[in-house]
Amino acid sequence: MGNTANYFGLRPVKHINGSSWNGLTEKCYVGATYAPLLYIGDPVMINNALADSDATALHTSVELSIPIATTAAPIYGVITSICSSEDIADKWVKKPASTEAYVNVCVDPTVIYHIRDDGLGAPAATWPFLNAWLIQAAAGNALTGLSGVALDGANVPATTQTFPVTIIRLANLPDNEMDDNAIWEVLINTHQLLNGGVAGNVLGVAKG
Amino acid sequence: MANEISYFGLRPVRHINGSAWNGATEKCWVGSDYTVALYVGQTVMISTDASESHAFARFTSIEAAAHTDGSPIYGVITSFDNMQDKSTSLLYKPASTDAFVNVCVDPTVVYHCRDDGSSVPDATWPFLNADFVDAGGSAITGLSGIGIAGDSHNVDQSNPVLILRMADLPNNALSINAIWEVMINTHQLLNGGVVGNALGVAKA
Repeated sequence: MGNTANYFGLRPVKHINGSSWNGLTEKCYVGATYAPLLYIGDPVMINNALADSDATALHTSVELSIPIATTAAPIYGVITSICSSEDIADKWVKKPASTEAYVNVCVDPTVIYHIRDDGLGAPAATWPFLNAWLIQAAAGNALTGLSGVALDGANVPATTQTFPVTIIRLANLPDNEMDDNAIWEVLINTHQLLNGGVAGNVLGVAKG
Repeated sequence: MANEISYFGLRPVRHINGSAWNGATEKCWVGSDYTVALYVGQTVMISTDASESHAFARFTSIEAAAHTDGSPIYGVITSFDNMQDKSTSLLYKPASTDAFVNVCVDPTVVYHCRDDGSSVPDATWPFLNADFVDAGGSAITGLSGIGIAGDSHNVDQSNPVLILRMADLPNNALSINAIWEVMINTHQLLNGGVVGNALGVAKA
């Protein structure tokens, strides 16, 4: 049976040391002037627009970061939930366009994520410990609130240190086949809390 | 109400992943040849002086870290013991006195630190780099006089501080001498130390 193509962005699952991810996040800020929608599973980076910053400086202001093959971008973390105010009870499925919001972001650079590839490459046993790009494979889903970001298979994973994610392995999940649209375990490689961000952290290892 | 000017150095409060700091430290060594006084909250680096090293190599020997661009930091002092068995505790380490020093060495720890009031803080400060400055430790409280050099905030990966955000504390106003959440950016356990870890992001 082939893999499905229901994208969910990046989903934190564990730490590289093997311990489980316990759900800890940082509450970050998105200003009302920031137009794009945000979804659960979207990677975000530090927002450099003063107009979008939290005037109190109490919260880190973030924006969408999708490092695609034509545009490099660092990543600060991944959205795990969205609130309309500092009160966590006011929970949203997604962040609407041009609306102030607080987003809970997994910012720990040691966290491993699940992500589905976009089905445009040829997954193989050579992919683990190569670096790869991300891609907006589909728009975020307004019903589920889930991101449409995927691992870019068409731009072939390589050893390049500046690529934004490091593929660790195929996720050991039921019905997850090494085929198009497989789910992979990845680390964020251009994390803004590691090695200057865009310089990248891990140098991939080619098999041959 | 204006912020106070009571410096306390760096105070470990949590980890970047959101979990609480549990007080774990490494017991380090300062030899009697070292002539500088050390205080709680002070940043330290690995000592390069062989005469100050622990004779049995069981403890990392440390000394005060510098505060400017490219200064490596191994951790932050949280307390002092002058005996290995902790039977006697020092308020601070006087000059030319050997001591065991408990140091928070985890590079994932987030600290509170007060800025020195040399520049008016604003919403552009979070995720910028900066230097430290030292107003001198207190022999009465035992606390370090290290603060963030406010006028040094910029985008410079080799600066020793990464400013995360204002600390969400009562009476902590976004004004001079505010208390900030920071990470050590030139940690000796990360990326070679002096090169620095995180590159700041300027807002405009």
